[in-house]
Amino acid sequence: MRCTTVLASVVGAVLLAAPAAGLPLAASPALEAGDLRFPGHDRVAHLDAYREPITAVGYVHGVGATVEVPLQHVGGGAAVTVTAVDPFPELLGMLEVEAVSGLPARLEPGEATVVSVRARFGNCRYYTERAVNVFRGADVTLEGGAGATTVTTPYPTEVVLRSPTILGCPDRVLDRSARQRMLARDE
Amino acid sequence: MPPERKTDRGPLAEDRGRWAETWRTVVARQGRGIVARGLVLVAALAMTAVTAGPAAAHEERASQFPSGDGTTPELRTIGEAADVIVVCKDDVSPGRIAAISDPQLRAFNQRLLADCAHEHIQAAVDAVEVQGTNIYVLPGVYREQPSWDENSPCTEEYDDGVVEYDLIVSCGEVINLVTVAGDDPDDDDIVCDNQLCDLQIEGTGEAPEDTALRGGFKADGSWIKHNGVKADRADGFVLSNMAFQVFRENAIYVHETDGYLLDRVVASHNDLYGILTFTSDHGLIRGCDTAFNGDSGIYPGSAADVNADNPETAPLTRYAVEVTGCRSHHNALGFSGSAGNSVWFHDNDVFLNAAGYVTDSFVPNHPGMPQDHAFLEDNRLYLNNVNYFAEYVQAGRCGGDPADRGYETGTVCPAFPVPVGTGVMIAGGNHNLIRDNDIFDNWRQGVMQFWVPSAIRDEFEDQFDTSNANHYTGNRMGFGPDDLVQPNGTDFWWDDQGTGNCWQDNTSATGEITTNATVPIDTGGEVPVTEFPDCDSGGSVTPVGNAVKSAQLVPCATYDREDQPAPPLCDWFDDPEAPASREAAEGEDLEAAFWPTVAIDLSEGLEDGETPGAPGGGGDGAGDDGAVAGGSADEGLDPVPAAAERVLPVTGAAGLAGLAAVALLGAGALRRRRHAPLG
Repeated sequence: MRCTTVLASVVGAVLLAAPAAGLPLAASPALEAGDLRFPGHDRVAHLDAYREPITAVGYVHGVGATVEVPLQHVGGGAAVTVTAVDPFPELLGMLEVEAVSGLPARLEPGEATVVSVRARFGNCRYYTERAVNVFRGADVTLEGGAGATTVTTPYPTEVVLRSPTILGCPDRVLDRSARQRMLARDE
Repeated sequence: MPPERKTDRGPLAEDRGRWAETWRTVVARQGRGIVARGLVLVAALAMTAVTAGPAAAHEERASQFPSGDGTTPELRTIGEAADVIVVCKDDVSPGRIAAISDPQLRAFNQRLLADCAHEHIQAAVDAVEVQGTNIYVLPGVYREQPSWDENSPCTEEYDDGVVEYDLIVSCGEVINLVTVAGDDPDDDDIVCDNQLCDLQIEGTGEAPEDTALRGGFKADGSWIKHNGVKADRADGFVLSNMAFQVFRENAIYVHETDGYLLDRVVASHNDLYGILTFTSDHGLIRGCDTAFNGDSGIYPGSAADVNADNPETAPLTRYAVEVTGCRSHHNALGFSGSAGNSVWFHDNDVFLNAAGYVTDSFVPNHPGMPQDHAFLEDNRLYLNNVNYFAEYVQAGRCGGDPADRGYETGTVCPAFPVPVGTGVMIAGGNHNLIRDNDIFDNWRQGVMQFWVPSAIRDEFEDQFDTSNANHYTGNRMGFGPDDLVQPNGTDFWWDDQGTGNCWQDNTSATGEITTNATVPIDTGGEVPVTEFPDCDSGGSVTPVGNAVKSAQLVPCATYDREDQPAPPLCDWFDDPEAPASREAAEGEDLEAAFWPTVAIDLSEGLEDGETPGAPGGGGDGAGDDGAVAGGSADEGLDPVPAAAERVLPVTGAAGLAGLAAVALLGAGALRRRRHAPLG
C-alpha cells in the first residue's frame, strides 16, 4: 500500500514538475519501474523519512554491482517488449552499465519482470567531493508495432549516489571543476 | 559553566552601540564619493572606521587530529622572539614605511628595514634556525615568484592529485605559495618537532592589507596556486596583520596543527575558503576580515572533536577553536564547517553573504563526523541575502578560465548549495548551542536545522545520528539597529527531526517568533503541539523528520556551479523577498551594499609583464633568498601603488569602512552594476 501510494505521488510530482525543471517526461504510462535493488552491495541505505524516500548508495571505486530493475506493464491493450534498460541514464554518471541480462522481455498487461544489470562504479574523476548523482528513473527501450521507443520510467524511490572525496577516487585531480566532464560529454 | 574567554572583548568586539554604527554605514547611502588610491585610501578608510565606530568540505590527504596536548599561542613581541628574520620588498617597502602615520610604528619598521634579509616570505621561512622565531614582513605585496611552478623543478612530477605530507615537506610549492611544515616526515607522529614550531609571521603595516600575499592567475588563465600560506603540523603557528588574496582554494590554511593563532588577517577573493583550518586544535582566530570567497570566509572543518563523548550541550569548558571579533561578509557562506566540532564562535559579524553560519555533516572522510558542540554566542548575523547563484553562476560568469571570472573585482562563485537568505544553517549537527545572538534581516529564515542521514557522508550504520540536542536560547530575532523591525523570513525552520532539540526564551521584534511548525509535533506530551519544543521540557522526542519539509534537500544537493547551476525542483537560489514588515533604514541602499565595488590589483608585486607561464615572465627567482640591501625610509619611493585603478582594500576596520564608503556612494558611478547574463 505504501509503495503504491509513494509511487503515485512521485510519478505525479515528476510529471508535474518535469516541464519546468527540464526533466524527461515519462512517455509510456504502460510501464512502471519499481525500486532499484542492489543485492550484494552492502553500502545501501533506504531512507524512508527523507523527503519522499531515497535510496543512498555508497560509491566504491572500480567495484562492480548487480542492480535489479523491477518493471511492470500497468497499461491495458497490447503487450510490450523491453529490449534495453539503462537504470543510470546519466552521461558519465558514477554508475555505468556494463551488461544487461533478461532481455528482451515480453510483458503482457499486468505482467512484471526484473531486469538484472551489471554496473560498475566509476567516473568519479569527473566530479568533486561535493557532487551527487541523483537517478530518478530508468531509460527503457520498447519494441512495438511502431518501432522502437525509449521512455523514462521514474523510480518510486530516487537513488542518490554521492561522490567520494579524493581519498576514495584514486584518479581524481584537484581540478575541482566540472569542465572535464562537460568536455567529455561534448565528445 | 561558560569557558573562560581567551581574549578580552574590548578592542575586537564592539558593544551594541558601536556595531550598530557599523551596520548603519554598511547599508546607508549618502551622496559623497571616494577619491583615493592605495595606501592613501587605506589610511583614510582606517580613519573613517575609527571615527565612525565601525558557504562544504574539501579534498585533502587522510588526516588525523593532533594529540591535543598543545596550547593556543599568543602574539609574541620582538623582544620575546628567539630569533628575528625580516622580509621586505626593497623597491616598495621603504616608501610605504615612510608613509606610515604612526611615528612609533614607522620607526619600528625603519629599524627592521635595516635588517631586511629576504624579499620572499618562503625564503625567510626556509632560513629559520630556531623554534620561536618571529618573521617580520614589511609593507608590500608579495607574489613569491620562486614558488611559481616554472621555477620549482620538484613540481614537474606532481600529478595534481592528493598531496601527502612528505610532498608538502619536500615540495610544498606544488600547492602553496608559502609552506610552513613543522614535522619530520620520517617519524610516526604528526607532532611539530623542527625549527618551524612556534613560528610567528607578522606584517608590520598599519593595516593588514598593507602587507599582502597575493596569488592570481597564470598566462593561460589558470590559478597560480591552490593555497596562499599553509601551516602543516606547525604547532604554535602565529599569523598576524597580513592580507591573503586570490587563490584557487584557501588563502590561509592550517592543517594537523595543535596550537595556532590567526590574528587580524584578511582573506578575500578566493575560489573556496578565506581561512581554512582542518584537523587542528587549540586555535584562536580573532579580528579577521573575510570576504568574496566562493565557499566560506572562515572554515574550521574537522576541528578536533574534543567533546565527541560529551553528553552536554554547550557551554563547555574546552573548545578546539575560538573565533571572535571577525567580520565575514560577501562570501557564499560567512562561516562553514563540515564537522565543525567544538567551535566557539562569539562576538562576530556575519552579514551580506548568501548564507551566514553553516555547519554540516555532509561529506565523507572528515574526521569527527557527525558535527557536534559548536557554541554561537553574541554574534550578529544579518542581511545574508546576497544571491551569488543567480548573479554569477546562473549568469554564466563562473565558467571559462578562472582569470576571466573577475574574482579580483568581487565575483563569488558558490561551490556549495545553500538556501540564499539564511542566517544560520545546522545541516546535521548535534549539541550545538545558539545563544544570545542578534539574528535579523535574513529574508528566507533566521535559523535552519535539518537532519542529514549518515549515508549521505558514506556511512551506513546509524542513519539517525545527527540533528539531536541542539539548543536555541535567548536569541533576538528581527531586531535591527536603531529600533528598526527587520524580521527574518521565518525565524526558525526545522524539519521536525531529532531528539533533544529545543527553543526557548528567544524574542522577536514583531512580538512573536515565527517558525515553520505546520503539523502537530509529538513532544511526548498528551497532546501534540504545533510549537517547537522548549528546553525545560527536554526538547524534541521525534527521531523521524517531516518528509514534506525536507523536500528541497535532495534536489538542491545536485547543484554544480558549472554543470548544474539551477537544479530542477530546487528553490534555494531564488531571490528571497524581504518580509513585508521590514523597516528600511533611512537612506539605505541595499543594492550598493549587496554589490560593492572592489578591486584587487593583480599587477602589484610583479615586474612589468611578469606573469607565470608567459614568455619572458615567470620570475626567475634571482635573488630568491639572497641578501637584500637594507633600505631606509628616505629613499623617496612613491608610497602609492602604481596601479591606475583605485583599489578598495577589504580588511578589518578598514575593509568594512571601505564597504561603507561604497554604500555611501549610492548610485554613483563607481558602483558595480549587476551583471547581465552572459548567455
